[in-house]
Amino acid sequence: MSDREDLGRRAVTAALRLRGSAGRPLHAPICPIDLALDLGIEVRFEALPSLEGLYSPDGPLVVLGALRPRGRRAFTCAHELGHHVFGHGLSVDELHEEPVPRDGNELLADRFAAALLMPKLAVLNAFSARDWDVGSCSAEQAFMIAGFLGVGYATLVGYLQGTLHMLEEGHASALRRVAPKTIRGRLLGWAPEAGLVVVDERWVWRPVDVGVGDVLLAPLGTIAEGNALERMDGRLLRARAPGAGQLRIGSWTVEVRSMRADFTGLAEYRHLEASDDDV
Amino acid sequence: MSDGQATLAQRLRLAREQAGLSQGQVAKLMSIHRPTVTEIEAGRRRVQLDEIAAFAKLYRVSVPWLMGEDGEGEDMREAKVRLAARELAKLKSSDLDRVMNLLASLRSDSDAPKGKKG
Repeated sequence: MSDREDLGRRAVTAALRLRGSAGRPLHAPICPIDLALDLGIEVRFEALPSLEGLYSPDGPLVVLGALRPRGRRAFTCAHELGHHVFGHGLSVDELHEEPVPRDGNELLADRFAAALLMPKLAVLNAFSARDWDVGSCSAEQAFMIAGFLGVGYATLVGYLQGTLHMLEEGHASALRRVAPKTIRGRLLGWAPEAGLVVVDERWVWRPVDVGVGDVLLAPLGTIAEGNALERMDGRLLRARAPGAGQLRIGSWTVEVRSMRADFTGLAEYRHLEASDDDV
Repeated sequence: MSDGQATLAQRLRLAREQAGLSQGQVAKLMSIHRPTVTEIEAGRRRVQLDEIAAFAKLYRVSVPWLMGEDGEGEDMREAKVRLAARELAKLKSSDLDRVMNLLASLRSDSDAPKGKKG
């Protein structure tokens, strides 16, 4: 077994073990920030332009770059959890616009993060529950599943091809050529500047996390409850304020949590509603 | 207002902002009136030790840091900074200051008053 294979195996084993000990089933998507908080780790968002993420064993503490996209922040949180699980010391992950080669602890933490967020069983379950075939999935389907698993579209496509070997290289390349903005345009008929989350009645196990201004495409007839959401038109809803709400049709109910895109502070307060007392 | 009172007021405001909370949200979470939070942060109202402990718990900072201490000895802090220098050097200097302030304000078990851990 090569060093890289050994490292990958260690990462997957540790990620699956953590899911087991933390009561997160392997077939379910998770929120890594909630998981870190459950483990007693303090998680903060900071608007630091050069910071992707930071792990300090003192605390322990995870700091996430508040200026990064939601999927990226989730992956970084899982990466910092990897540093925690493997007992690494203070670790600063600086922002890179382009991917950089990783080695040692950083590669281990990356592999851990991917395995934690996208276990094979969770990926298979996400596609099969919707009667979709992973190997021939459309860009729109991959986009929706990426949102469900809480990772970026390109991250999911790369992992399906490079690690899980569920996508042929040619099909993965075709998917990569479709930009998320194009997919948002295809799904809505217009391309919102903010994020888009596609929600369906197979969305179970974890809340729908959105930023204020994000658009939700929900099944026809979905009832939205709570001050955080407002209906735009038909199947479209918009997150209008921080807070929590619910979507439901018949017996299906899912929690929606909204946070300000520029929120900085403790993660446990990220979905807190604004107070009427504040002027 | 004494220097100690002014420092406490200043750090309570800083800790609240670092936690991402508004005065109104703090008032709601602590079941007190919003103007009370304003008065405390302006240094116009005395704060009891049990109230300081409650703020520290809410903001996840240490009581000694709120009261003006550095949170840990200078020697220990400098040693940690030396150890972390290679990692922290990756950050821009303005970001580094922010991170160092955060690390200094962190709550640890040894900071919590006996019987008031949380």
